[in-house]
Amino acid sequence: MTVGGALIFYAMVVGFAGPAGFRRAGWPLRAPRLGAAAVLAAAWSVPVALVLAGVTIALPASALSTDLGQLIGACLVRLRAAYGTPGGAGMVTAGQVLSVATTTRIAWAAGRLAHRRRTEGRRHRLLVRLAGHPRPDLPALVLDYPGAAAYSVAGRHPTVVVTSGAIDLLTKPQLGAVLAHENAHLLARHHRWQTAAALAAAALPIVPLLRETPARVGRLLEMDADELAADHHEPHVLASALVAVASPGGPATGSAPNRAASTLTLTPAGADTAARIHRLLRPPDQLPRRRQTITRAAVVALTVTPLVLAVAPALLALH
Amino acid sequence: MPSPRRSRPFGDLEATVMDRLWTAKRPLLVRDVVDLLSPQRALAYTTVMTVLDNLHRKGWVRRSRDGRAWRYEPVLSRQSYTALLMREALAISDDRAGVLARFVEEIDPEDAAALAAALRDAPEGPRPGTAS
Repeated sequence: MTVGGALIFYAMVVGFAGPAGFRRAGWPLRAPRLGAAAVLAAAWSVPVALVLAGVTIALPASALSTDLGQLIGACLVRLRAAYGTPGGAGMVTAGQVLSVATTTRIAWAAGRLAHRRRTEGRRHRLLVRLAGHPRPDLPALVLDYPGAAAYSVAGRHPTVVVTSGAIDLLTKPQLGAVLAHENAHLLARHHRWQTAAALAAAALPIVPLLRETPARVGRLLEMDADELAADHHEPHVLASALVAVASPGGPATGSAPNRAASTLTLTPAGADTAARIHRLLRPPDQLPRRRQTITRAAVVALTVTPLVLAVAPALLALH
Repeated sequence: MPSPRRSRPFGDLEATVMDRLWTAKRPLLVRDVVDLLSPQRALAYTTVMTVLDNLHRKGWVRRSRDGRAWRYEPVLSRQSYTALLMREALAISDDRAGVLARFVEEIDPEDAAALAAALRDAPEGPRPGTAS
């Protein structure tokens, strides 16, 4: 049970203490794409650890009772010793339940997600059919809709969509920056990251780290797209477009409240937007190359730790 | 009005039939819809009847008696339905399925005013310009 126990312990620590760690860490804001990769690696290492925990608990004990056990009987005795697996049907069942339940949960979440994607894709096709009209002068599809909004749609025909309301609201440079931001999402394939995050959250929403993954990854990917758009557009223009599009019923007027911007408490959505604006106006220093390398190594380590924990005793026992 | 909870968007056939109802701008008989569809899509009378019946059951069209037949018309205008779809498409902040990435969510008016003020006070750059 030692290896299985270690894996479960690992899943608990990462899954429950992980959010606090990510909240404290400042570096993801300086390297958002790397940050998103770290969040995803940490999140997915939790279900992987749980599945492997089940397998390491069930397998060394249960294989003894099969014909296969006859063939490699001597090895199995050593394997069981290596994994510290106490024999007994109870342990085997517990291990099997853990890995099968986790795998089933992931498969179920994947099915639900696929359904939601189909619905969303269909809604989008319908919108385009009902309200879309071509504008040869813009690298985007225009929807006749009074509200200001812009988004990108992944899929077989990746598209940037902008509403007529946004075109009326924004200046030409602002519109260009917004479209560049959305196009950056598509070019960097951010939707795939977002899908992996949504899947993790849907599979094990009880685990805080996994539950918070879509929001955390989404925030960082928005910053990444801002950064990519700011390569070719004035950051200040993009920031002003953010405020204009985010403001309900058009741009905020001059009648600003008396509260100072630094002391006010923002709603979560407001705080996200504020963080993006702050980042655009005062870009943080790039993460030093050495720290980037270390962080990349840590991301890889996170992903392989459960696997190493699970396989190492077998390799040691059989050599 | 359809229920405020998320509705499934129309299927292909439903969308085609709705399109004809919206374009017609008057209540249509099943026969009218079949005729309007016939150049591009030759559909059986019963098929169109079933689609209209489903749309009625789901609350998207209302119907009135015309002799022995029903006349159908959309409950929502094309613009209202578009707005509904749009609101649903944009209400995805909490359950992104990885299809749609929105530029920025609409925020609280107070937050928006504070951010606009912060932007104006920003050291570099001109005042935030908008087209209006």
